Amino acid sequence: MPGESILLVDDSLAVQDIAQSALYEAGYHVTTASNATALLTAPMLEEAQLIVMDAEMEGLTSTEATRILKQHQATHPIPVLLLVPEEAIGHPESLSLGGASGFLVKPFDPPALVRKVGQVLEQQRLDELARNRLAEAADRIMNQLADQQIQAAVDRKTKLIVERCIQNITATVDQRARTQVEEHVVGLVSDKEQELVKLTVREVAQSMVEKLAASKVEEAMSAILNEQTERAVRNAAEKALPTLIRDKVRDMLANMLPREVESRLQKAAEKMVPEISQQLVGTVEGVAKRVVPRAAREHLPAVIESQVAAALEQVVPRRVSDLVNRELERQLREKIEPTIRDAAARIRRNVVMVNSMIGLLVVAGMAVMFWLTFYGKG
Amino acid sequence: MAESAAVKTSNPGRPMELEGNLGAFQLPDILKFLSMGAMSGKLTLSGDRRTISLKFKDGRLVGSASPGRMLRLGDVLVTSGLLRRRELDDVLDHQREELRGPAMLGDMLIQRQLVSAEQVSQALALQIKEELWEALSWDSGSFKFEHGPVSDHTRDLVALEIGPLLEEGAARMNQWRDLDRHLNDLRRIYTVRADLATMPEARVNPNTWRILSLINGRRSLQVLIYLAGLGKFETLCAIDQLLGLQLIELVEEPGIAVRGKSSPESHGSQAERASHDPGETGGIRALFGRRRRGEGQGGAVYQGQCGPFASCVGFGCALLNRLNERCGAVTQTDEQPITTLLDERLWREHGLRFRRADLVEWREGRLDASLFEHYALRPGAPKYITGCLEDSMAALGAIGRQMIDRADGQFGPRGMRIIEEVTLSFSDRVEIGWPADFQPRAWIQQWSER
Repeated sequence: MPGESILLVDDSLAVQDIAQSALYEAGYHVTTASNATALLTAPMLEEAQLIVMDAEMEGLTSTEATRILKQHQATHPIPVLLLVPEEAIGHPESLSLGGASGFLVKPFDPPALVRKVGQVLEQQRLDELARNRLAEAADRIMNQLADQQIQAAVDRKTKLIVERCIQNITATVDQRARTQVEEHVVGLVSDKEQELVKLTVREVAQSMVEKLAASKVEEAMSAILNEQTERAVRNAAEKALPTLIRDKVRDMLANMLPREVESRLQKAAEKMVPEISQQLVGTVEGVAKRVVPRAAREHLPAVIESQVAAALEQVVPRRVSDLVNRELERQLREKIEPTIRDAAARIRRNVVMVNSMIGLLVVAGMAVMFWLTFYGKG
Repeated sequence: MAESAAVKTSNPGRPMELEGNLGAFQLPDILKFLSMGAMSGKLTLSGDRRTISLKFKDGRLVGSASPGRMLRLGDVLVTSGLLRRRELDDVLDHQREELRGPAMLGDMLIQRQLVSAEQVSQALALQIKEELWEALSWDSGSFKFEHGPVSDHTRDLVALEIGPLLEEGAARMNQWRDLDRHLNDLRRIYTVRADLATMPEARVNPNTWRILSLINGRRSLQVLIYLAGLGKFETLCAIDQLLGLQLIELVEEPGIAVRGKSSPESHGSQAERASHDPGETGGIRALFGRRRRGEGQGGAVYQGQCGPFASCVGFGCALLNRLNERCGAVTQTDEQPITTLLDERLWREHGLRFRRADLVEWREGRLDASLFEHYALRPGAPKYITGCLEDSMAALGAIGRQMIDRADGQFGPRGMRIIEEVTLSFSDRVEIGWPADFQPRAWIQQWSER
């Protein structure tokens, strides 16, 4: 095939020239050398498609050179055509080529050389083709075997991987379920705890509200009672007795009434007032105990619960308590004050009645004093 | 005043001459002087063995010449494959016969468009450098500079600056001297070693491989220098490297034949063997039948008539063998020490310089063309063997010229008469099979009168 590279080795430059001319004309690229060592060190050796070599050369022989070429991996496939001198050929059939692909008797006819070169290259191509086909077939079989082996290995591996995955998933699910159950239990416990806390807070709040309401009522009642009592006494004293009489009465009371009467009266007054006050307080308290808790229980739970929930969520009890306090105050103002006012009115009426009784007692005392003054001495 | 230089201007009208001893004036200093002075002229350097002429133009080196130079321009171009031998011969004939003047070969080749100016320029530069390196290596000698215009019939194909040349030369001198000491005998022959057991790991550069590829156990260093066309320095460097890599070894010390195919001692019996030679019938046999090598046409013996010959190469070998035998017979008759005009060494050193002449072999004390004719007479061969024919005839002509010189030196007029007698007998009534148009007389005249 034109364009193929040939390395031609012959110790004669003339033979090189003859062969080169013929091969060049046939389209081959020919590089020449005069000895086998030059062949083995040729820069283009591994690119050569054919080596044409004189069988009888000085120094390294063609047999040795062919052996070295065939032992070397890169040059092993390069075919070698020997040029054998006709004197060296006794029986061509018994000629040992020593690894060469063919031979040509020397001196050669140049066209015969070209033909022989073409044959060797063609044979080389066919051998190469056969080798390639064989290699392809071997590759195919090897690939099939490899595929089967690979498939089996993949199946085994896949099975192992699936089993391992299932184990992993099971473990993971178990772990996750356990975690979730724990979380759920913890949540339930937390809810329960929250509920208990709420209940406790509610009860505490109710207790606080009740106590607050009671103390408020008590304070209000005490304030009202004191104020009313003081005012009533002052008014009664200022309005009922003229200053003189009052002075007289004071003097008389101081001078004329015996200490015993005064003390009895004082005692009676002292005995009556606390008793009345106690009665009033008891009344008020009773009313308050009945009215305020009921009202609080009826109206406040929702508010309290929302406030408590907010307080629980924000974990800011103070704010909750503030809100609760404000709500309680508002509830107290709205719900309890009328009751308190009613109770105060009743107390006021009782006080008036008590004042009246005191006034009557004073008048009676004065009358007694008059009687004693004017009629007692006598 | 042997150690000094002198400027001769005694004769008015003659060009200025500067001459002296290289022992007193170093060649680099002389070259620098000529370069700095932008001088034109010819510097002739005479060493122990050779004379080299360097031509200067305006301080630059434009040419060189030396008798018996190894790198002749034509040879360089032919061995490089740039020029065919026949084309070179035609141009040389034209130069010699028709122009009869100093026309430069390079110019003629360029004019005929056989080679390019660049190719000639490179070959000339190689020539000049080779001769300059050699002259720089001389330890003694004389110089003479003749101031004047250089030949103006040549174009400035090459003009080398002295500075870079001296730098390159200085770098090469140590190596050159070393090579000259170890490889000073160019008759030595090297061959590749036979004990290579594995693929060589060493890689050689292209020039070294080029030299290695030419070594075949028969070519001397001198022939390798001719064939490679790289110059003496590069060739010897390559040989030195190959020796260092133990890829080649020395085959033959000068004066010792090792190949066994022939030996100087065997020359003494040439005339005797000639009388028993099968004779010119070998040529006829070569024409009509296959023969074994060694029965070549070159063995034909002159017995009053000549031929027929299968080829002109066989004719040439027979002529030179006959000349040799006749001279040998003369010495034998005179009871003088047997002297030969032709021996293996002459063929190796002069014949094998021609690249494709090695189908002519030295066999049993004779030039043998049988191998050439084996190839030439193949049906498909003539088309491809023309180059071998040209080189073989050129080589035989060169050997013939050498033999004439030797005969003249050894036998004087008597030797020349023998040569004339033999060549005349070979010029007429000769039958030569191939090529049909070969003219023996013209060929003989070509080298005998050159």
